Amino acid sequence: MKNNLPHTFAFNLLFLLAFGLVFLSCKKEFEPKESFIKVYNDNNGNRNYFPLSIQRTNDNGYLTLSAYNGWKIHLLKTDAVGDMLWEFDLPSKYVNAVPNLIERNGNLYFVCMDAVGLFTYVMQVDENGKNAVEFQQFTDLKYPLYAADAGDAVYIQNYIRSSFRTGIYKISSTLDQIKNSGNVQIFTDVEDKIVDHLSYTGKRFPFFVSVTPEKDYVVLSGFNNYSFSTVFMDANLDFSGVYNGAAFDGGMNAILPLGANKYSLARFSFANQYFNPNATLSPTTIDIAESIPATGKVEIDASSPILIKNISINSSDYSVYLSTTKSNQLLLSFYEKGTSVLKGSKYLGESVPLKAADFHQTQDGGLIILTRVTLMGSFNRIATIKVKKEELEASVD
Amino acid sequence: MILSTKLSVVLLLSALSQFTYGQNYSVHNKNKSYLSLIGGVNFSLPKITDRYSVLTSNSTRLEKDYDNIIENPGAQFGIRYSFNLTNSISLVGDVAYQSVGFKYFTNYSWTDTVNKQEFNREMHHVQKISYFTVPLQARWEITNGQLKPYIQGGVSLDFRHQAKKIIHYDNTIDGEETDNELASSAEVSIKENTRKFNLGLTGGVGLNYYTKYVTFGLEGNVKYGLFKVISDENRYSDLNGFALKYLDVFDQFKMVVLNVQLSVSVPLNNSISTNILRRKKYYKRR
Repeated sequence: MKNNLPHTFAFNLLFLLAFGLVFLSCKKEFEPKESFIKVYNDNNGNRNYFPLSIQRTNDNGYLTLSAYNGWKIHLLKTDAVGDMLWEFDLPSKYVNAVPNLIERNGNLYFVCMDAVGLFTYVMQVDENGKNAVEFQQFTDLKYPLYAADAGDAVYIQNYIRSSFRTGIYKISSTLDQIKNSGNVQIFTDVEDKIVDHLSYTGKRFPFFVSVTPEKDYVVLSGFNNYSFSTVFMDANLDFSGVYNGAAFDGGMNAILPLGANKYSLARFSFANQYFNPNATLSPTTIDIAESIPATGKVEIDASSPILIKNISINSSDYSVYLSTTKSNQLLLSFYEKGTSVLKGSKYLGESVPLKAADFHQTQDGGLIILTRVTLMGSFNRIATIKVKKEELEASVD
Repeated sequence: MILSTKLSVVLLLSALSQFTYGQNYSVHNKNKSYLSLIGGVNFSLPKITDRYSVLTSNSTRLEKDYDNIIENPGAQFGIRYSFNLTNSISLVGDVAYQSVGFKYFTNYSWTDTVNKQEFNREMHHVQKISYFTVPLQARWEITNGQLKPYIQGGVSLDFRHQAKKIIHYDNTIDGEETDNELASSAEVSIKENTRKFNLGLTGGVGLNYYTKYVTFGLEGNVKYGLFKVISDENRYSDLNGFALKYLDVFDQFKMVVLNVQLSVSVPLNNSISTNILRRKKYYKRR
């Protein structure tokens, strides 16, 4: 019996070790919606997608708005883990969807154009019917270029071809009437550039509209005074100030107003890209965009979309830039809000070309990123990447 | 045909009974311990619990096709310690290194009806995961002759050592690797995609042949991993760059491993002096 003791002890020890390991391995269950990469398949090889905007839906899924084969419009609905539920190609009379998807009372809307009349439609997404229906049309508003949701109003930037002007329209919160409008002079016909932009046959300009937190200025990047400029319009949509671009080869890609004349911005000059996450701009000045101090970002592709959003990570606010590198990766740059301190960066993708389109913070603290991916070196497809909260925290740690 | 099969079974049983009942020696190894070298081959089969894919569609089936168990070979080797509580009941503990594999294939195609172009891509995914395994089993040796069949069962603690993956791809969708157009990805580590530890239920049957100095064994075991093999947290982390380039993420599964192995055992104390083998007559007189 004595001889058995060491052996019994050894086996008891091993079994205890086994149960200890089992206990340790019982950790929090991971939920698939926390992190995913999804590419939305289309076997049709001659389809070419250009994603524009993404929004969360009521069922915690996502809706994406994209262009395909030029200016045609495509909607795609996913579930919470990014799997496709349905997709819808709008009839050919509706073209040139512009960023962004707009949420109102649980419904999603977007702005597009009539293929013949060139005027503006507001379309409502019908998730039950798995399509989109006409909600409103503005026949005087031609060539829509960008739509920005300011909560109490929606601003639409457009090109006024009859007088060579850039227009800005304030649409009611209910999206059914024009409340106000303003415009600035371009002094030259830029219709060829506009057509190239909206038909995806040439250079895509980073048209942009934003509203300051104080609601005292509307900031737009668009054509003005023979250049691609950033124009400040006051609350009545009258011209207030401008940062002129270098003709049509320089200007601002994106602006996030932080309040008190502070802005996180990205500006470009030809192929060079610059970031300033804490710039001070005067809304009443007349200056040139290249005079704004900014740090050169040699790896960023200036011709791809750049987005700047305010994101909260671990109760701290960050100005987060989503950009595309020249090697076709996505790059997230995290700047401490109100400072120029880069707290971290995160690259996404490495072996397949990606192009940034849109991103949002999700309810679980992660990020949903809409991107274009080029599969097999040939097929431009819509893709979503969900970055989990823990990865964001690690990026700024 | 049926008659010949029956005849074969009868002959086999007769031969076995010759070994088991017609032997000169019986084995007496109560309170004895053995040290063994073990080694053999295994075959694995992933039991899919959840399917995942990078490419998603509402019209096309985009699931992986897994190879069957016989096409997923692996190997294991190690040492074994056993202690006999009685002449027929023993406790067995191994420390072994086991490599298991599993394969699947995916295929995608795009058709351009405008430009009359077609692009096909077939991918053969080959994975190998290696574990340090510690099976702890109880064994019952059914007879008392020199040739002792046994059954055993217990648990296995598996600690992942390394995991690798390679993808072979071609442009012909036929389920086979098309040699004249075959290309391969780099072999990359998938350690971060796989879980570090697994606990399995294991059991099997075997046969030991005792001599004075050495015991030879042949056994087959089945192990069912209780835990998931793939790390859900890192599934889409694209740690190896495969997610977008090859449209590949792992499904979730539990692993079933069937192994066949040989063992060579020596008593830890001299078998003659401890008198493990005794003539049956002598034993009966005593």
